[in-house]
Amino acid sequence: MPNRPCQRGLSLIAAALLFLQGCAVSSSEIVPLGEGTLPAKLQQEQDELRAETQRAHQYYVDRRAFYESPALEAYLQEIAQKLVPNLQLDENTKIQFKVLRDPTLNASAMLTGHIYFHSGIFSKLKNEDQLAFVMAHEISHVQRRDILYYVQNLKRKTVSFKLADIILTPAASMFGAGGLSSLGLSLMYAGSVTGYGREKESAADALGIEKLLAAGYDPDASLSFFDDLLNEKNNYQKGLDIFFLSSHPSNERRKNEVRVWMAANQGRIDTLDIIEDRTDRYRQLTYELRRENAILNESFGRFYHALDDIQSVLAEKPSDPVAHYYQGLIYLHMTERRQKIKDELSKERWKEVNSVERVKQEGEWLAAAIQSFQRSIDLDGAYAPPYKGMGEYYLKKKMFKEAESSFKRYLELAPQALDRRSVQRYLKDISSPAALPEKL
Amino acid sequence: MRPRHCLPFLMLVALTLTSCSTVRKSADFQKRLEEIKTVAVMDPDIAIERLVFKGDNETLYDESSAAGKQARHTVEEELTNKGFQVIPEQVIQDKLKQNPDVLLTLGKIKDRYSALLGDVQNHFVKKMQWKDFNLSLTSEVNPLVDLLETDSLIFVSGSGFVNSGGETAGDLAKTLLIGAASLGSVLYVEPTAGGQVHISWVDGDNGNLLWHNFSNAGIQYNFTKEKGIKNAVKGAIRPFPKQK
Repeated sequence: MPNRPCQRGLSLIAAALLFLQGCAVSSSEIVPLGEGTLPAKLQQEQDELRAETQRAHQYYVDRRAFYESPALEAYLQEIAQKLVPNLQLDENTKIQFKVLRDPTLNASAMLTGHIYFHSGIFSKLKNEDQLAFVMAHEISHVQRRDILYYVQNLKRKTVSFKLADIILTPAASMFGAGGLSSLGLSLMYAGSVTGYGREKESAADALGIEKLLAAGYDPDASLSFFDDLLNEKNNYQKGLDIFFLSSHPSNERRKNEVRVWMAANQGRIDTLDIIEDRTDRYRQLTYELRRENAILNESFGRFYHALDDIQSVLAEKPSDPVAHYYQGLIYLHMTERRQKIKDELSKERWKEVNSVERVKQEGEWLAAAIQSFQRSIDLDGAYAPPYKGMGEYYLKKKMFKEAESSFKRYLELAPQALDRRSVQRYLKDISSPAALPEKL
Repeated sequence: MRPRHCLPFLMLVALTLTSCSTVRKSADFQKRLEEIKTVAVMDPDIAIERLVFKGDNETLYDESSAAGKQARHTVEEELTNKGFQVIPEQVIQDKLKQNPDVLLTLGKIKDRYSALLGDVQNHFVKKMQWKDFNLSLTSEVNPLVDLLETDSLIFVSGSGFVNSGGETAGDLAKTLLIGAASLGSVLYVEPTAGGQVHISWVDGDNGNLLWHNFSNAGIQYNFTKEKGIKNAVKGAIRPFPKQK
């Protein structure tokens, strides 16, 4: 461990570097779209970033990463037009939306005007007003060219981080503090470069609410959205959900700032005529996406996220056989990947889940799986997938006869099923159960 | 512990680690090895970055693509030598081009594979026994293997870095500073390039990962050079068994 003078020295250097990091690009150099031209160097940076975005966009297209739904895209476009009547912000920037098949809670705004919503965000939004708030927030980032500011700052911070690395490593090495300094610096680095920064996010929130008001949306949607996110944070580890959850400034603080802004504008809000409750429309147009997001979460081993998603769609349509089948699948696979659940949940929530005896709990999950499959079959006897789910359940229970009959029923109902090969393999394995792996 | 005394200890740790097998096999590996004759190599995902001192790291798209091609070529060559029938790349490309739905499925499978690599790392970190190695890309692979008329798939994923001139100068400065600070007792050298490659053999029937291995990180593999990526891939696939 380092001695005291050394620690003091390291702290001083770190403090100096933190101070240096404050000298980043000035916001005033980056004028919003339509309010003047950028300095030549920033203009070049902007062109490069746009080219990079097009390249990334093509990559997504090639990998078929976008969720294709003309109805949903038209819906998003319709909301955007209420917020910003002319979506062509300048000759190179047109607001357009794509939904990425990604269950994490994220959205990003590019300089080209592309706004990418992850499918995961739709599962957390409750209504069109909340969606309009997130959209307005992202459009504001595009209008203010915040990503350009972000990239400029990132570069400067990277340089100071690397300088710090060079300055501190020898000192740490000399006094035997190797590892500690780099750990400390990584945290400092991570803390300073994530997000567009408090000021930018707050500005985008304020501009976003202005747009909500002008379009006749309920500005309270922003507050309720922050509340939902705060609840989310209590349940899960931050992980990949970098959008509002971790990279942005504290949601609590932003919520308070929004509240202050709304109090200052109460007069305008009171005159607002909120026409209709748009919850049903939002739910209807995003239903399939939210249901698919559940299974996407499941495939990434985010089982509790998946359960949240599927239970929310089941609350809307309790007689949807597909949703019941998905629910069964989630419960079935939860028993196989317990470590994933630990990685997914917050410490407190995991403690709660883990307090139940493991065998008992897995028994409960399996029981929930079979009930869900059965319910799906009861709702639509011609729907094949739950039979495969039941077959897998019976295999786990080593009830080979029942498994065989379920798999056979599946193939009868769906002889051309894309995954028939896996079912045929199960049937082959069942014919010689001794060859089956111990753990299924 | 003073750095000078750390070095032999670290070398011992490194040697111990490298003597551990990095290969993982599923429970039904032997059985399936006897049954599987054909294999299709999916487009390797290799990403190479240039570490830039003044700012953002730069993705080397052309070099990444060339490394991917070299990785595929090396894997195909090795598998052919081990007696497997390898589905030609052109056949794979043509069939996928004509079947956009399967291409979409392949995108999803690749995403799932990326996520699964985290679990694979977990497996090594937590020193789980081979019996517990039961990771799967699920039956979602079925339409892909049916289309390609193969029994199994190979996935290759890797990442590499090379230092820019500025980064190298920075590293040199660090080396000199550490040398001076330790009065010459510590020789600290940062690698100028490096990388790691993961290779998985996937059962076409159920998507189970039958076999997995990776090349050791930290060795000076420069993926922008043909030899670098070739050696990394060869190192990872060498323990792959011969077809029975």
